[in-house]
Amino acid sequence: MKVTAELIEKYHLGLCTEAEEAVVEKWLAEESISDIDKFSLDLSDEMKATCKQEMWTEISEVLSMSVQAKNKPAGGKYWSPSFVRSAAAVLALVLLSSVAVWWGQKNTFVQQVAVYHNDEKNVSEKFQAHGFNIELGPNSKANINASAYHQNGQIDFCGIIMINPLEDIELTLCTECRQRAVQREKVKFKKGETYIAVNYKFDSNSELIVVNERNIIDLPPVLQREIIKQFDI
Amino acid sequence: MSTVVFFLKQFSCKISCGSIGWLCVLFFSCQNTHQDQSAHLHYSIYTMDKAGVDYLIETNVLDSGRVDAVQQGSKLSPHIHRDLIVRDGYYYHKSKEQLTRYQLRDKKLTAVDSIVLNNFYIDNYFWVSPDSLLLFGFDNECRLVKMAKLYLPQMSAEIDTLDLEIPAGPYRYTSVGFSDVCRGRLLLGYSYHRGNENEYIPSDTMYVGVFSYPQLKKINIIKDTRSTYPGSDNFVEPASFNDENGDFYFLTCPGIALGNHAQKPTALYRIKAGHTTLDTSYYFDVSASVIGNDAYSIYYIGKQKAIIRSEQAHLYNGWKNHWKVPHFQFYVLDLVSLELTKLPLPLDKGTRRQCVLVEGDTTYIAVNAEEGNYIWLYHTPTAHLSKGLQLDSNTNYILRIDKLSAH
Repeated sequence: MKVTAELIEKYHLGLCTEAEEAVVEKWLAEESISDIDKFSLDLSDEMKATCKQEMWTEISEVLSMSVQAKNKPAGGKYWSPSFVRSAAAVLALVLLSSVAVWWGQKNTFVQQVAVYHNDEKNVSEKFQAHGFNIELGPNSKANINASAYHQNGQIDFCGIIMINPLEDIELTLCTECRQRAVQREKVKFKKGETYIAVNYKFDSNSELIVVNERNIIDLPPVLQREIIKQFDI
Repeated sequence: MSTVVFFLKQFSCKISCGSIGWLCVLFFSCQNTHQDQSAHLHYSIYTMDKAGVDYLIETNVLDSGRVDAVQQGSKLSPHIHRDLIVRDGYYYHKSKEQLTRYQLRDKKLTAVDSIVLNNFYIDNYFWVSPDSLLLFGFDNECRLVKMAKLYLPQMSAEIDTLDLEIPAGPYRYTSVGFSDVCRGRLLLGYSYHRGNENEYIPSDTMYVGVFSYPQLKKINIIKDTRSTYPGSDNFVEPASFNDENGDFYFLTCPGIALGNHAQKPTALYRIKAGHTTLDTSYYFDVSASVIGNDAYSIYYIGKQKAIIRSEQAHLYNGWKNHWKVPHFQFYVLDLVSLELTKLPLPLDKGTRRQCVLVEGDTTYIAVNAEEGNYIWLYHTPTAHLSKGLQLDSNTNYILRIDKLSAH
């Protein structure tokens, strides 16, 4: 039987069988966390060691408190062994979850593609994505796959999109509009800057244009004016 | 005649209103703006460095030497851009529904005053007099064309709506490309555009509205389908002018950087002084000439000659490098014979910029070349070309050269 997050939670709620209890308590006492396979973590040995040490430090503090409590004179607060084990299990679950969230933000962590669309005709709409904020112009849409943060994240969009990166990030922008050739470009975005991306139509061709907000003046005047109007710049 | 006009101009500067003042103002506004009698004018140079930081340099010398933007210029804040009006020591910058007047003080561009124009997107301007500025623009839907008459000492404005057809259907936006007031006549070049699914292509027709001034009574609407998108964004660069006779010339600019209509050529039209219709005997197809490309600006240099700055489509690949690659060339056009002479200048970069300044027989041309950024001098009578002021090696673009006028 392998130790999973569900099993630890079950242990905390006091719903385990005796066999399951034994497995969890054995795991808590073990030096290795290699049995944790519930999470799709790709942890290096160094990371595993760090996780283990942090968890064990927390758990040890709880256990040492329980020993002191047991040795207190009569009339003091007494922490029963079952309570201590339960608390340790909760702590382990919280720590594992925190590590998983933190690690997922930094490395490969599979996410579903997020779909955004603004069906308004005259008003732009803001959304929060993973690592950046976006604002879609009227009648614009975007599919965002932010997997591999800092790496091959991609935004497929049609219309006009404003991008505000929360950190330095490299993304592939791809225009996905009907009856137009797909355009794709990898762009480095700097934290704190604001960018506008638009699929600009030239006769039978179209071009993906990405420009820093400060350089909107370089765009054709009519497009410039439309961006100012749509995003209320 | 020019001396009389100059005297009257000075007189009109001393009075803000008055029949004599307006009479000479109207006459002055038909004259070529390159006629300036002062020998001690100051100049303004707007640059961008390789990190994308903008600078403003004020100098007395354009014909020699070297200038360093960091040492001698003033670093500009990111909200200031090169779409400026520069005149009489002031810089006018437009932002949404506001025009702000700045002055360079202690190496800092300082806001002096401003005016808010509600529900008014500013698109074009024309100086009626040194104290009176006309702004043309639209309501927030970009369909109703408006004119604001600014009285600069007080920074007050009167706003009127022009009687132009409100666009409907697929071409539902309007843009104004030029404005000109001469002898009681206002000419307004405009287009109608698409605004669907990122298509901003103009219709097949270029329009010029003819109105009485200052009454703004509609006299005529000129339409022509040989080209489209008359004029430009004159806050960035001009595409029209009056010659010494008061004849009005304008470019239509359907190239990639302005109108974006692939089927129409860049062309030069003329409306003769006092007329309300096109001069049907005058039409110059720039794209079909030896230039063979689109252009976005034209500058009158006097004596029936003008300079056209044109692109070279085979040297760039789309809008993304249109402004990065040096591909622009300069041609002198004889307005009478329509003969073109290419100036032996290095290829220039920068999509749209105010890069020609005329002072008497000397035309200053700012060129952003691979070899460096220089102000060149063209002597109109002899066609002699020479290198003038050099910008420092960290300058990436000279974006504007302007005459600040006497202080």
